[in-house]
Amino acid sequence: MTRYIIKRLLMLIPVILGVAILIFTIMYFTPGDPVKLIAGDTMTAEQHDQIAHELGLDQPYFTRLFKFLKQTFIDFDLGTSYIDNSSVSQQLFTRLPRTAIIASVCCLLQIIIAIPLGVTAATHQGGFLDSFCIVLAIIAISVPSFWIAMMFILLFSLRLDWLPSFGIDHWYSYILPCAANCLMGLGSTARQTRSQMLEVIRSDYVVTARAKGVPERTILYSHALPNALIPVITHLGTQFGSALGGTVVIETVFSIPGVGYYMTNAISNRDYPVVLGGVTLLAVLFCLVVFLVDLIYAFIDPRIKAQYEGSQKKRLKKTEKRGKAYA
Amino acid sequence: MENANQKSGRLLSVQNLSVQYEANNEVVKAVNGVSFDLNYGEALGLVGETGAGKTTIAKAILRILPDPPAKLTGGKILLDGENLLDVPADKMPEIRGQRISMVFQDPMTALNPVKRVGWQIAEGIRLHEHCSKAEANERAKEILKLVGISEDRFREYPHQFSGGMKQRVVIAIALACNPDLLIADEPTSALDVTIQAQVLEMMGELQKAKNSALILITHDFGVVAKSCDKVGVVYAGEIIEFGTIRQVFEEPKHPYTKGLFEAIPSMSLDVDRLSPIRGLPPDPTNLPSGCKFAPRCKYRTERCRQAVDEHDFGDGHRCRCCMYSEEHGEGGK
Amino acid sequence: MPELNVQAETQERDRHSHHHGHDHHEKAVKRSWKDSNFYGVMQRFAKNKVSVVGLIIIILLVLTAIFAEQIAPYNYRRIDPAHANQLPSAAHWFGTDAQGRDIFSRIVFGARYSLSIGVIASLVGTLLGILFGALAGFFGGWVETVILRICDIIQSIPNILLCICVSQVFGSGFFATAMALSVYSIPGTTRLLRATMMSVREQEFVEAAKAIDCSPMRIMFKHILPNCMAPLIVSFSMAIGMKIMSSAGLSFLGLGIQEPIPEWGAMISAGRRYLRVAPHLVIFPGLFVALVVLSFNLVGDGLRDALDPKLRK
Repeated sequence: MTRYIIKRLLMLIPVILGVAILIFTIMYFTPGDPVKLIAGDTMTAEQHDQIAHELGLDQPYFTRLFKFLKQTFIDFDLGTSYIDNSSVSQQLFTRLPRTAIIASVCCLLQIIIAIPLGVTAATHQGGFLDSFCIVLAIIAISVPSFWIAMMFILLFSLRLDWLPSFGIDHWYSYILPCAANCLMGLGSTARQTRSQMLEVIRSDYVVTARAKGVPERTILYSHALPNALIPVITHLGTQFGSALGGTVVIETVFSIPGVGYYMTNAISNRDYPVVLGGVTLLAVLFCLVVFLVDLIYAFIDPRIKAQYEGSQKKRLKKTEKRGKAYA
Repeated sequence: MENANQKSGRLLSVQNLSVQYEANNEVVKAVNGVSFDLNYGEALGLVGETGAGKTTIAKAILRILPDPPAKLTGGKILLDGENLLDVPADKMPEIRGQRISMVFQDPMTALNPVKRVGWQIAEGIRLHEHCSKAEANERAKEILKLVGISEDRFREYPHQFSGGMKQRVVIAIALACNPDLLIADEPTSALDVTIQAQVLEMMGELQKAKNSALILITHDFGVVAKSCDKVGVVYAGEIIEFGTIRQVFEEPKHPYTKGLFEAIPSMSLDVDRLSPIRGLPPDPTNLPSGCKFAPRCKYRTERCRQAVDEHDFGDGHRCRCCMYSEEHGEGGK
Repeated sequence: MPELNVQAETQERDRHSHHHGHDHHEKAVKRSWKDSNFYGVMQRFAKNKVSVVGLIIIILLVLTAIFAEQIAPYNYRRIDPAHANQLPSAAHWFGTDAQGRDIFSRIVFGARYSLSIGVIASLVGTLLGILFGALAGFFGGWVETVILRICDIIQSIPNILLCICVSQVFGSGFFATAMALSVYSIPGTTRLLRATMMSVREQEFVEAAKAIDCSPMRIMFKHILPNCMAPLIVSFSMAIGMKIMSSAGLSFLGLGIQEPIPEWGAMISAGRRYLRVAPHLVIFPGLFVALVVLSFNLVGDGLRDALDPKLRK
C-alpha cells in the first residue's frame, strides 16, 4: 500500500504544476491591463510603465512564469493582490474553510442520500419507487444550482424568513448554500448508483450466490453493493470537483466570502495573483480529494490493492489492462 | 468420507417442463415439455447444440431464471416428491446450495471479485448448516483441499486464481453443503483442454464419493460417455432421445442423435468425409409444428409436420420420432 | 465532465437478451446487428415515451427560436419604464422586467442564444475531443501520453472555474463564450473516444480487416469511427444541456453573454436584484433553462438506451 500511496502522490506533482502553468498561461493571454484597472485612466505613460515594472508585468512570459512557479511552490507565497495589496495566501486561507465546508457537505449528502436512493431505485426496478427516483434525479441534474439557490432564498428567506439569505455568520447559514449546491450531485450520484447496481445485479457472481442459497437481501447488500460502489466512489471524487466549481457560483448568490466569491471579483479586476492563487489552491484541493478517493478505491477493490502488495509484474500488467478496459 | 446413510431411489423427476422468454412482444419457446427422472447417485448428461435450451432447463430446476423475461409455463419439478414450483420464493434459498447446487459455465465471472475465496465457500455452509463462522471456515478449508487447492490460498481473492483453479473453487462452493443434486452447466468449456479432464475427473470422483446425483450439461459426447450413466439429447427445447449411455451410444434411435454420432470424427474408422447434419436449428420464436427436427431430417414424411410421438424402447430408452410409430412401420433405417 | 461520461443505465430488454445467455447466443448476435441500424435505433427511441417528450420540447423550442419574430408579442428591446416589474398578466404572460420589457418576448428571443450557444459549444468541444482522442488512439506512444496528461490537468480544474478563466481570454461575446464553454468538454470526449477506440481496436473484426490488408486509414474511418459513434452521439446530446446550463451560469456571474442580450442566464442575473419585489424576473428564465436542460438530458438518456447494444460490452 505504501508504494501505491507514494506513487499516487508523485503523480500529483506534474498535474498540479501543469494546472499552475495552464492557468498562468491563460491569464497571460487575457486581454486587459491590470495597471489601468489599478491606477485609473488618468496617468502618464511613464507612470504606467513604472507600475507595470513594479508588478513585473513588463518581463517576458518565461521569466514571469518561473518567478510565479518559484514563488508558489518553493516559497509558498502567492504574492499580494493588485487591488488592495493584501496577502493572497492569507486571504485565501481565511476563506478556504467556507468553500471547503460547502463542497464537503455536498459530497457527504451524496453519500448519505443519493447512494441509498440509487440502491432503492435499482432494487425496485420498474416499480413506482424506481420511476419516482429516476424522475427526481433527472430533474435534479437539470436545474441550474444558482437558480434553485435563488428560489430557496425566495421561499425560505424572503417568504418564510427561516434562514438567512446571505453571509455565513451562523452554522445555519450553510443550509441553503449546501442544499442548492448539492442538488445536481445528488441526482447524478443516484443515477450512477442505480445503473451500477442494475449492472451488478445481473452479473454471474450474483447468480452464483443465488444458486448457493443466499437470501435476496443478503445478495443485494453483501454481494452486489460492494461491487456496485467501486465505480460510484470514483464518481464521488469527480463530484467533489463539480461541488467546488458549484460553490464558486453559489457563493456569489449568497454573498459568502469564500474563495469563489473572492476569485470571481478578482477576475473582472484582472487581479492576476488572486486568480492564479485561487485556481491553483482549488485544483490542489481537488487533486488531493481525488487522491484520497483513489486510496479508498484501492482499499475496497482487491484487484487494485494486489497490484501494489504483490511484486509479481505479470499480475500487475494483467490488472492494469483490465483497469484500462473499464476506463 | 463415505456417508453411512447412502440414500437411494428417485431423487428428481422433471415432468413436462416448459419455459418461455417473453420480451419485445416476442415469445422465445426455450423449453417445450421436457421430462426425465434421476435417481440418487446417478449422473445424467444433457447434450445438445448451443441454444437448445439446456441451461434453461438447469436454471429452471433451481428456479434462478430471471423473471421477467423467463416464464415457467407448465410442468412439475419433483425433488423427493415435493414440487419445487410450489415452494414459495422465500423458501427456495434453503433448497438452493443445500439440496441442489450448480456449477456455472464461466469461472472467470462466476466468483465475486471483491470477496475472499474462502469467504465465498464458507458463506453457503454458514447459511445452511447454521454453524459458527470458525466452524464454517474449517469446513470450507477441507472442501478447498478436496478440490485440490492448498489451504493457504483460503484468504486469497478470485483474481489471484487461474481459470482452472477458479472452476475448482466454483465446484467447491457448489459441493460445500453436500447437495443431493449437482448441476454442472458446461463446467469445462471455458477451460483449457488439459485442465478440462482434470476438473471433470475431480468432479466425478466427488460426486461418487458424496453420492450426489449429477446433471452434466455439455455439447461433447465424449465427456458424457466418460462421466455419465444416462444421457438426454436436447433439441429445440425438447429431449428427443433419452436412455442409458449404453442404449443411446450403441443404438441411437433418433435421426438427430444418429446424425450427431456421424459428425464425430472417429479414431478407429478411416472415413474421408464426416457427414454433418444439414441446416440449422429452428428459430425458437417460430418453432415448426409437429417434429421440430423435421425440416432437417432425411427420413421426414408428411406426418412429421403435424405431430410427433414418443416411442418407448423399454428400459427407459425413449425417443421422440414418428419413424417408430405404428403407421410408419418398424425400423426406418 | 460530470454527466458526459457515458454510463450505462436502465433498459431492461437488452439486459434480458443478455440473460438468455449462451443458449440464445446466435439470436443475440443477429439481433445486435439489426440493432445497429438507424431505423432500429429510432424505433427503440420512439418506444421511450419520456425521451420522446423531451425531443418534442426541444423541437418546439427550436421552432420558437426560428420564428421568434412571429411568436413574440412585443419587441424584446422595447423599454417601457412606466410598466416596469409588472407581474404576469394577460397582456404580459410572464410579466415585465425592471425596464418594462416583456419577459415572454425576451425568453422567446433568448431561445436563439441559449440553444445555439449550447449546440455550438458542444459541437466544437466534441469535434476537438474527437480530434485529440483519435490522435491519441491512433498514434499511441508519447502522443497519447501527452494528450492524456493534458486532459488530466484540464480535468483537475473544476470546470466552471476553467470556463471563467478561458472566457476572459476570448472576451464576453457570443462566440467567445461558446469557445470558453467548449474547452472543458474536450478532455471527456478525448478520453471517451480513445477508450472506445482501444476497445474496438481489440475486437476481432478489426483484426479481420487487418488480415485482409485494409489500410490503417480505412480501418480508422470505416471500422473504428462508426463504432465510436454511439457513445459520442449520447455525450453530444447530454453536453448541449450542460453547456446551456454553464452558459447561464457564466452570464449569471457577469462573465458570459451580457445584458441587454436576452440570454436566459443574463436575464436571471439582471433580475436578481429584484428578487424580493419581482421574483418572476428570475423564475421564468430559470424555468426555461431547467426545461431545456431536462429535455436534452431526457433525449440523451433515450438515445443511450436505444444505442445501448453497442455501448455495453
